[in-house]
Amino acid sequence: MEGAQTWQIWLAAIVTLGIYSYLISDNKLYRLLLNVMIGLGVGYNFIVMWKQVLAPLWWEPMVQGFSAVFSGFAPGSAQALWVFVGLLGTLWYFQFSRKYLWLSRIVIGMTLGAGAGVVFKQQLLMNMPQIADSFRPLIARADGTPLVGGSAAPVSLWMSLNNIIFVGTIVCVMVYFFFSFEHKWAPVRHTARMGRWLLMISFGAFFGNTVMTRMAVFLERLQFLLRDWLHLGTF
Amino acid sequence: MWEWLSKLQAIDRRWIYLSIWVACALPFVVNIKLPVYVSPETRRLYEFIEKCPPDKVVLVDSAWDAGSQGENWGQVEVVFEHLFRRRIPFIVTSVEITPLGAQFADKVIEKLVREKFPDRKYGVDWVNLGYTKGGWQAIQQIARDIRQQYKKDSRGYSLDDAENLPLMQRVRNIEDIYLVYSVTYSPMEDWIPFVHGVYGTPIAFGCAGIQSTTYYRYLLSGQLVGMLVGVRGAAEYDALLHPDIRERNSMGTRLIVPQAFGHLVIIVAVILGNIGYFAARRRRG
Repeated sequence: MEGAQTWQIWLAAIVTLGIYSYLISDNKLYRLLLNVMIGLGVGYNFIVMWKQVLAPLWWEPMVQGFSAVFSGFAPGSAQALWVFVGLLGTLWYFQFSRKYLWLSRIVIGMTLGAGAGVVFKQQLLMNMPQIADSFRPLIARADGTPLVGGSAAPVSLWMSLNNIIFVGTIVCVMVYFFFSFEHKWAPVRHTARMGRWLLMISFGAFFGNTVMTRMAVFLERLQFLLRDWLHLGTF
Repeated sequence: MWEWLSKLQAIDRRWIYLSIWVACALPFVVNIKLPVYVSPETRRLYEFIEKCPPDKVVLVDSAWDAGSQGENWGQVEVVFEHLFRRRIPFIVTSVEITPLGAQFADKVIEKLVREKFPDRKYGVDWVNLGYTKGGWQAIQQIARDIRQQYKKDSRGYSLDDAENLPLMQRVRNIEDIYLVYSVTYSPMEDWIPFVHGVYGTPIAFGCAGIQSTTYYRYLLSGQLVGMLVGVRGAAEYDALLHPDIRERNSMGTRLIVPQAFGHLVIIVAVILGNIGYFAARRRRG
């Protein structure tokens, strides 16, 4: 907290320790601080949303549009049409009314339609390169090109081994997820079992990374407490 | 003996918390340095920024706040330092995730300008456009015409204000952007289909370690040019920026040694728990 005043550092330290007090047991201070943080977050979010998003992108153009309309349909009058976007947005709130719930379905339908269209494009653009990348030569040259029809680079044992593991993992895991028939035939059974093991290894990597992230969050606070608050430390 | 060993799987969690506190605090109090080995994903991002031509601009989507600053602060700090050092102008945005993102980016930049680059000027070397909402729509709008999504920067200057924001006068759309670097706990994958997929603009991520496992596939397919993973990524990038270990002082470098100590305690706890588990099984016969 460079540049922070002493009272700010003390306040931050007390809040940090108050939150960490949950590690000992649930307590009133922890719950109080939690509620204060939620309240601050919501309030701040609302202000920023208005000042940086809604005002410049919706309110101000709309007001300018109405000014133009009232000045005898001067250029820019079309911006007054933003009012309809606002009206559409308010339809969401009819979810709170049993009588007029159907109004909210109009805007929900529009959102779903737009979302479905975009997801189609998104998935295509995101996953097609993934699928193309999963077709790899098992005997590869140093630059990744195949033995037949590739470049003039020498054959690389390391690259080939890498590709074999990559393709082998994809096949094993996909076989594991074939649920439409029983895994009775030995080659399928063993491949599926290998797929399960490989999945376990990936879950282990996930968990290891989870620990790393949680640790980093804690370390940043620990650094604050030791360096900025208690003035201990070598940095 | 088996009975005693079986108690290892029931150690009070508060002892484990205390051990982690002590182990992690030690490297903060006593100066301990450990070597850092640079991973390929970090090196690729560093080398990509090294090749940036002088007329291009980097777009940094800095959408993180206090919840993930342990990892994300270091990740933007080192890249901002690299950009300042090479005098590559950059634009900061904060799309969708947190309204605090732009403020936190400002704090990192202010620190760098104050301590290392006092001659860098706002509006010339960097611009902070602030927070915006809209997810994939906002991303597409920024790519097509940045002025349609942002009318003003975070300080209230119009993007067409040539006096205060000369940098923005040469940035219209994604064609003027060399690289999009998205830093947050879990970067929005929408950058990949809607910017890299449509315009071919290179994308890089700085993400929390927990999320990295899902993003490695984009590195293999070339959809990401590089990635900084957690504290490790930040510390590795700092090592590339400063080969001399005494010159490193970024957040990533400061946290990497305590993190190693903390991991050591957790590994020991996992081993002890397993010993306790097998001892209990043995005792039951």
